[in-house]
Amino acid sequence: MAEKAYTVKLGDVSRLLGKIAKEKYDVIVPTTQDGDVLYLPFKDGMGVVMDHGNPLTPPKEFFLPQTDELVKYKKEGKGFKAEVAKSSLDCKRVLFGIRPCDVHALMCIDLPFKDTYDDSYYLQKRANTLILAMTCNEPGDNCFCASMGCGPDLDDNYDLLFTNIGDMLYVKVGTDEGKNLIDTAPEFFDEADKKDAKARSAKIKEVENKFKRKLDTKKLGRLKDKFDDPTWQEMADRCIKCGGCNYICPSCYCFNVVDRTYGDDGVRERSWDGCMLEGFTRMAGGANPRQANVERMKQRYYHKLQYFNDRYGRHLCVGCGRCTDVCPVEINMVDYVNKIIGGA
Amino acid sequence: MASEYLPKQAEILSVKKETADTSRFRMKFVDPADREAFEYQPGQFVEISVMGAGEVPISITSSPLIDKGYFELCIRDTGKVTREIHKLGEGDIVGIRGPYGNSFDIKSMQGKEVLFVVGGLGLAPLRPVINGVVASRDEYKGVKILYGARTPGDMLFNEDLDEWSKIDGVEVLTTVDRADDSWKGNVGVVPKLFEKTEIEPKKTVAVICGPGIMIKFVMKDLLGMGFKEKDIWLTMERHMKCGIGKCGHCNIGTKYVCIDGPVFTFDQIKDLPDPY
Repeated sequence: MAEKAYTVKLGDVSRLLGKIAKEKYDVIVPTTQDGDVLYLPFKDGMGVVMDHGNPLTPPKEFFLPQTDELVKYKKEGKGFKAEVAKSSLDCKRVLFGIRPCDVHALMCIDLPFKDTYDDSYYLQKRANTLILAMTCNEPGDNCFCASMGCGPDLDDNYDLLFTNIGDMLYVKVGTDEGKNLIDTAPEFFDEADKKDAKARSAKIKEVENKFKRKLDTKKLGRLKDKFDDPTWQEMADRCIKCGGCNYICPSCYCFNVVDRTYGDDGVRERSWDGCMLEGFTRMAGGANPRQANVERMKQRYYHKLQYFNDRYGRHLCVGCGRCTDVCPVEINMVDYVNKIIGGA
Repeated sequence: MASEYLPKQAEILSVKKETADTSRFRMKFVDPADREAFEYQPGQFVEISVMGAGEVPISITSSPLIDKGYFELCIRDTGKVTREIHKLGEGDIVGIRGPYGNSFDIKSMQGKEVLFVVGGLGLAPLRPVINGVVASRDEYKGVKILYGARTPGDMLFNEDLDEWSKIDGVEVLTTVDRADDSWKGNVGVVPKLFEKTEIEPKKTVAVICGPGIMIKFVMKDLLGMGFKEKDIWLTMERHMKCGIGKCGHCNIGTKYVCIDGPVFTFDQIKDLPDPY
């Protein structure tokens, strides 16, 4: 697509999103609630945050909700009737303000969810959601997306890409659908000039230079020889097995499936699960291939930084740093992995 | 919207008690179109569900060659879902998804002797493999079935073991961990049976299924005898919640047991962390 860029005044963004919401779209935006920046459904007059770091929770839940209904069933006589649950998103939706790292996390989840069998629940939500991404304003204390090649800028996989360049947002167009969105509210957009483009480049450069943490990704290949490194046990001993790192991770996609019955009616739904939890691999009868916490610790890190890459050609970590942010016992992913691979 | 998670209805035709806690359920799909579409190979599994209790992966124990118009699952009463299945009988309806997973390439074993090393419920997924091999007995150099159970009462498919042992060129050896007064046969763990027969590793393919601890010992013995890694076949057990490579529970290293397995040759899994 021909590179044509636009600008939107910061003061107009809320009205622009309001207009989009009045069209046929659900709109999700980053907003402040109880002191945290979270992604929430847009309502008129809501404050849209545009100068923050990365929101506390990733927007994974809009594609893979904490619980998502798969099948509705009704017990009948000696059997049952079942149908596909209609929980999936069947209208168009706009996700505004998603960061490059979190866009990369969706690109990660796309891979297993298209592997051999399509996961229609997830893929429908993906297909119906326009990605209005925003390049990073300010890396957080534990951010290392630049090391993972997942930020602070984004090359593709967006419909529109915004960059906060002071009193306005610079807008790059990624798809025809993104351009159509601009055409539904042209009064808010001006064509960007060279000065704006320069301001964008300067902003990206400024952010790139602000990262405090670097994962030495060039040395990740060494992991394959580090399976017996004593550091894994050190991490496992420290870990309190809360699973917070799994749940907060934008690219962790594992789930459990449970039935909930109310009278004769019921729903089979999936909910997030975590490889750090002891019951994750336990089988009926009690056998558990990853009974020890150190085995689960290794599974999480190797899956993120070796196995997934060997299978799908990219790492299952985007460097958002949230696992380190939420860890109650300060297991710092970058520090520990650098220690294990002898990195910087 | 189409969904791979939507189970199809299957009716239980009969329940045959195999041991105190394990029964063989014969079933067929209610919808003739589902019956028509259900084509499986030895080694594959299905996800069976009882609505309200949940869904579990169970290997198919019937043989596509022999059992027409129905399929069979051999299920131990050992967890929340299997307990509910064991309460069901003729005419009850369960949910079925699948078949899933890969299968044993028994054609590739032709010209060789096939050595089955099996423990306990491990005979359930290997039964259709054995039936497939003995159905074309002349294509194989020979067949040996080494089968062990905890007690004589835990032996599965006694009629099959009896039938197989009568076939020319098929040797069946059984053992139990703990004998009772009725048992006149071998006592001891499955690997002990290796002493009771002649095995030519270079001309033999081994097919293994059983508890992890058995596999560990059997693997050590087979590799010690000189078996090539790619001539040792296993079928793996994991908590395959979704069966379609999404939920992550059966992930080991780069593999998902549900879509890359459950059948592997040893060379494919030897470098995975703690595969059994």
